[in-house]
Amino acid sequence: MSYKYFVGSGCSFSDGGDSWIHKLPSRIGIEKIHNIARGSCGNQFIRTNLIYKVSELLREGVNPHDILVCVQWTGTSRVDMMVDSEHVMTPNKFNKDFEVTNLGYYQVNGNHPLHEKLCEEYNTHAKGYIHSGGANNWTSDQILMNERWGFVLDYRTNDFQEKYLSNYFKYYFTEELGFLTFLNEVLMVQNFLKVKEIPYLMFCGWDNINSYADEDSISLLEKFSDQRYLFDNIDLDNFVFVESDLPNWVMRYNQTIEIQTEYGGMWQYLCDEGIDNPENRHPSSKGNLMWTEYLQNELEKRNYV
Amino acid sequence: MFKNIVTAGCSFTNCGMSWPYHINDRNVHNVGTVGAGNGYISRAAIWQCEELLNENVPPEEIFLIVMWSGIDRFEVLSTKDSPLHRDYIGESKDRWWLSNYNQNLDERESVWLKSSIPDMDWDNRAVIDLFKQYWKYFYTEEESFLKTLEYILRVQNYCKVKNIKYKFCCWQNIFNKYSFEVPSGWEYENQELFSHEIWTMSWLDGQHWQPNRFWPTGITKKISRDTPLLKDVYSQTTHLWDMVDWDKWWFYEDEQIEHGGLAEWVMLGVKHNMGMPDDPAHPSEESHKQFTKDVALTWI
Repeated sequence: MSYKYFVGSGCSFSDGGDSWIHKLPSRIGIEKIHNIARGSCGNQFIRTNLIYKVSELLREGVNPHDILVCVQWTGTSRVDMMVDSEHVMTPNKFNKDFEVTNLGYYQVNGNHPLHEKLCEEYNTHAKGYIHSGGANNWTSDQILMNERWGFVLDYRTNDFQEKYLSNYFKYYFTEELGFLTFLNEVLMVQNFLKVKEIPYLMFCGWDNINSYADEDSISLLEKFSDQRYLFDNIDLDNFVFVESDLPNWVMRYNQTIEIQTEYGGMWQYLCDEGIDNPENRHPSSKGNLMWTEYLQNELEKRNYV
Repeated sequence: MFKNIVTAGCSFTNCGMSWPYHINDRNVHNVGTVGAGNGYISRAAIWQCEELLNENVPPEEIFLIVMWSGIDRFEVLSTKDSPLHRDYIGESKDRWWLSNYNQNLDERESVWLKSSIPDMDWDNRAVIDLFKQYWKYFYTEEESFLKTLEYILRVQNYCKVKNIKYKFCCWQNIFNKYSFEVPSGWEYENQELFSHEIWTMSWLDGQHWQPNRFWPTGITKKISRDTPLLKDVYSQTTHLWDMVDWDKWWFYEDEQIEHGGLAEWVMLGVKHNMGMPDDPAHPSEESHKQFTKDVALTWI
């Protein structure tokens, strides 16, 4: 099998010119790359932007069998919201209040002539999506009770957008809703791609299924067992999980506990391989290369290429 | 022969003797609920189909009918961890704002809060405030319409992948940008009405309910017919619109209406009186019965 188009998506684990999205396609003979990953975004935006980009390719007449889609899912507690300059509270301050991403957002390699132009455009739209960001699967109410997980520590500023989203988290969001929404987004993309007959491979940035933080953690799948029927609909043949004994956000060198998970993601793999990044807990350049090799191996094992 | 009929929707699908209750000789699984928005409707439809499949019902024996509701509705999942959960579930008698499509769940653990229409006067202050704040600060029509199309595609693609036959329709037109200016001579004359306000017909007399709320024969102007489609108004939704399989939809249409639903069919199709003394905002039992006989049964 050979493909002509590679569509890769995810959050900050996948954006930037050094991402696996820019490294993998050339190794498997694909020339045209669409990197639509967006740092800080949530799974809703990953799904929305992916369906937008793929349907654009199909509209242009691209054969579905010429497309390979790879999706990196992000944390279950992230939120994306569409905002509009006509609906904000502070007149004439839309672009100060919100930092928006437009549907169709894409990245080019840092050396590409379009790179600077695209970066400048971020704050000039009259509407678009805002992202809560946050590097984990925990919700604000849990964080307020137990700040050590760091979600709100990064989050507590006087910025209008962050206050706006904090109110949303406090009153409209629950951990169960985050988990349920993540599963629904996976299924929405899965079924869209199946109906369109487009090959795809998915994985998580870190463990979204058990989401262990320490030895007392209860697996999200067990905690929210009513959502199990959604998980059971995920086609595991098209999903890469990494077996590991690393909880989320622990690096191998400071690991004090071991808790077995069969649903690890990119983070677990890189830390298990000793390629972590203590600076900012994002995959390093070397980490992206290692992940690229791992994905290439998975694609070959599963007869995608 | 479809032995199992799954029906999902809002109060137009489950309020009194609504249309699913007039389908005889089949196992009808009605997960419609008062005040539901399209997110809840999509989740409930999929959950019920999954229940049947898990009971080893063959997919070819299942037929799903979804009557989609207003695009401006939404739901919040409240759990025991929510700061106001106990206030939301309250203790009043008719707690119509609460629903779990999986009725085995304990609402003290988690339950969906349903907005219903904007400014719905639920008998719970905490719930009213929650939705009022959402509409004021978080709601945009474009995102709401986009989400409705995503919910439709979620169910459509689920059915295709699972090989389940289905039919979609809507409670009233939810796809066009339209309004209705009440002509002179009626109680609300010259007022511009939107959405369900048009079809409850209280603009005729300004009363709670009257037995003669028929659509006046002299009012023949276009209502939704030839009005802009929301997908053209909101460019971020066009690609989703193009993916909807419109062959699977039923619409009521005439010279005044396009993309009409049950409400337009009742008022302009079979020209019934809208509502009942104790429920002025929904089609009468007689209308539901005829809708099942003339329309829904032809699908299954």
